[in-house]
Amino acid sequence: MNISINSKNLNINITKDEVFILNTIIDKIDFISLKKITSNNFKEEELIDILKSLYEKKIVLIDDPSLLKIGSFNNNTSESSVYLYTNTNISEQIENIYKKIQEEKNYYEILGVSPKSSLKEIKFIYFKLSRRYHPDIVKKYNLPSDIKEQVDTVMLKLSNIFNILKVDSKRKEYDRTLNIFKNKLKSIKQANPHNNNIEKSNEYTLLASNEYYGGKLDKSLQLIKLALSYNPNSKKALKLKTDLDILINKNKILNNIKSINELISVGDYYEAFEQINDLIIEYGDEKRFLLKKVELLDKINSHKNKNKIISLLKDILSKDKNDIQTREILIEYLKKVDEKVLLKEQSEELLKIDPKNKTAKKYIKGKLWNMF
Amino acid sequence: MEYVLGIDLGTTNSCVYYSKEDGSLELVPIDNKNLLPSVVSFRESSVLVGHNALNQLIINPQNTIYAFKRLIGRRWESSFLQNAVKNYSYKIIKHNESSVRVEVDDKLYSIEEISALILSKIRAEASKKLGEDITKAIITVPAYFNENQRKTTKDAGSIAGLDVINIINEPTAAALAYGFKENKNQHLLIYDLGGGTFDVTVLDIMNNIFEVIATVGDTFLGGEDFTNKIVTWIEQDIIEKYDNSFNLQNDPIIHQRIKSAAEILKKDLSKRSSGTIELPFLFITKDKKTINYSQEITLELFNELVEPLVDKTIDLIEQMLDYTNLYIENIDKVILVGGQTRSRIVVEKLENFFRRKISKSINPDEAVAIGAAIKGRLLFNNENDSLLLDVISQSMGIMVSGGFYEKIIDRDSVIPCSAVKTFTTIKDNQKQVDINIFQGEYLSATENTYLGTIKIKDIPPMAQGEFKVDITFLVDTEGILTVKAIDLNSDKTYELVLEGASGLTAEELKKLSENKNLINGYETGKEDLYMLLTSIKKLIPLSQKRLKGDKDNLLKLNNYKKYIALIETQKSFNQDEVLSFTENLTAIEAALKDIVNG
Repeated sequence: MNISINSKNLNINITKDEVFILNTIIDKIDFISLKKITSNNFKEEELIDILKSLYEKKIVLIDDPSLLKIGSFNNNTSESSVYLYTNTNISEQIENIYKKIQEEKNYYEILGVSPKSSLKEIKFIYFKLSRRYHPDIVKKYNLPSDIKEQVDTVMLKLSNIFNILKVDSKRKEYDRTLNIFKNKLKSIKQANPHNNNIEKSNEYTLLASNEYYGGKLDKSLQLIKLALSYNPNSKKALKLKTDLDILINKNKILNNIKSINELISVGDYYEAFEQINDLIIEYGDEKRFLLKKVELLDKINSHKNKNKIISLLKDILSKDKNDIQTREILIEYLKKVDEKVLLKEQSEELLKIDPKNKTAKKYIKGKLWNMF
Repeated sequence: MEYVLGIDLGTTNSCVYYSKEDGSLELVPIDNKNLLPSVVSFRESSVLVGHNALNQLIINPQNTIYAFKRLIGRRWESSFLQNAVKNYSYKIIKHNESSVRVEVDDKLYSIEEISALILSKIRAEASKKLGEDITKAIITVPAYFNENQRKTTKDAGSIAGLDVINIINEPTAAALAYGFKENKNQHLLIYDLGGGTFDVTVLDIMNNIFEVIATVGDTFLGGEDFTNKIVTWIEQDIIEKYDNSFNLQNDPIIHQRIKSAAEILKKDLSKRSSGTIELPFLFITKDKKTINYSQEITLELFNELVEPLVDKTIDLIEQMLDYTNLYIENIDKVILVGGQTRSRIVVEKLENFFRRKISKSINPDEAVAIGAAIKGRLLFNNENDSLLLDVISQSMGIMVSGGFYEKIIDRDSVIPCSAVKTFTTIKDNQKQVDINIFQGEYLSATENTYLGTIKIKDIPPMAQGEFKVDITFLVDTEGILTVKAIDLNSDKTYELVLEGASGLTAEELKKLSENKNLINGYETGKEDLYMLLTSIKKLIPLSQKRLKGDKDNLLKLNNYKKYIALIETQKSFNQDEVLSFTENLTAIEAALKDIVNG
């Protein structure tokens, strides 16, 4: 008999008569981590028997997709569906499935089952995984918080997957979206059977656009670069690249604004002011940047920066006379620094554009009240 | 080992079990009985809980609170609540649209506080039995309870000083009680007809995993309604026979006497084919005639009265089997839970529907508490790999434009589960978005149960559809919902904190939980003290007669009287005082009994 366990592979080379010895050994081990099972002396059916006996001891299940077909030999009863699956060291085991979830693998890949599995098989796997990761179970282990978090994420995802796959209509809908993608890939291959480079380019473009719509911009950019390396003239790829560049730029700005807002929230106005100036230098004097600048000047020293603020706001207004929002900001600011003449002027100006404007009316009315 | 109480907090009765170190399950008897009536009675400055309170039902109906579980989470306008306000013998006051208060002696009590009195009693009795202060508990709720109602139950626990580690569904608990010892792969159907609610749950048990497939229910249907059918019939009968101008419902004592008699009759009819209602000196008519009411009621009549109720439960089962694509042949076993399943018509109709004999397989009164205790054991013990996978019984979602209801999580989803949907504005420059959260199955949002609102204010001017918000629903293993809204434009996160169904704010709740005196005053056996006092006060005049001429002993008796007067004038007691008073009074009672009995 020859059993070798190297890292995550178990090689079984045993005769039938030696099976009981294997069982005895396994009884003595708390868990075995298995990725692959290979066997020279056994037919598939015999291997199933061994696995079955192991499974009955609730020790081993397969984690190797190539062995999935073993399960399909036995789909008549739930107990005998044999899936090997690595056992109890949760922190070690969670990594694998957690990674699959992070990589947004499809539901079947996450569960480790074939897309053609019956509901019974899916349920079986879901139960198996639940027995491992359910909050009621892991509660007893006192896991470190980072691993507990991973386990919770995994269990939530598994339940969400099960909630979809267990309802026939929902599963069909999900399968449809999976197939659309697959069929697209297939049709590309059929359309350009001979030109390998164009085919590859289109394939990557499709993958890239899929990531693009899924919101994974960095991944998408990598793929589109790959696509363009195979076919630099692909119109589709170029168009996607332009869209991507715009979107990535936009996100960059959004991130910058976010960090500025964070600085403001902790009171670091000077650093925020530096950053907004950098933004204006890099992307031009867009209105939202200037308004942010006004907000900061106001926060740093409302009265000292009076002239700067008023002229900045007037600059914005000079570009678009009908910009009500900015004019309202200006009016509120003038009220705050008590610039009565300008306040009246601007309020009247605003009333011309928007006769019903409440902000403008508020101050005009106030003025009238004072007179009487 | 830490003990965890499994508490079935029922509409009419409550029951408690716990798991011993060796894994066997044991009942916690309360007042030496298996079941604790879920009744609370206020009298002067003291509160009676359980059997003693039940005795007050006829003599002191205005101050005796029963069937309060049915009031949790009802809308004020609902016909159910309006009927309750009319028919219940105690005063129910509107607190806000969706919650009520009970008024006793000009004092208002939330349902949480009343429930907490029951739970405090349970906690005290369990602590006494197990010889240590018990704080951990699992409380069961009807599967069809909504989010608010679950929260209310949890809050009641914390007022009573209990750490409620889990809330589980009653039928699921019953399934655990049955299936745990069976250890067999099968489909179970739990038919749970309790005092106040009705639930049906189908479970698939496979390799010790209990998976709830579906659950339906009706929180308006229970044994109380069976009793009420008899009460209505009797009251109608009285009016026809004696005095058609007499309004029986205006007199709580008469109403309560009829109700108690109906309750007893109902129990009789589960064993015999007819019973008699005997109500001597029930009332006096206008022409000064005393009415002694006596009427035979046959099983046939009873069945006729309650048949529509039973049919309703069968309809619900049919609906559920229908949408889960199960056939009656798929159900391996039907389990009856809840006191009302003792009615023969219930069993007959079920046997007819399932085309098989249905035998009593577990104790219908205790199964739920046993299941809760098993769950407590599963949570703290490693040796068994059983696992419970429960579902949410009602869909949850939000109101969208046009007043429609958009489901975010569907009913019968396995928990824990979550779902995200992205929503947007429908008007230009919308300044505020209200996310109204509901629970239920109706198309029109407001027909469902309202759970709460997340307000997103001060949205900068944006075109229609430009503003986007991700709404995440997350339901944990206890079926408790949290809702998060993320404003995708500013990345701000808003979170909904659910309130209990009684509208107690977090602050009020904290105050109640901290105010140990209020509750502990009851918990520490103040009612025992009260019973002792009454018993002694009866014994004193008798002893006085006996002791005539015995100066020494009369002096002693006088001292006793002073001591009793002292206790009676004291308004509140701390725990030590209660203990010492009880001890002394017990001694006095024994001494007096000796004197009286010579």
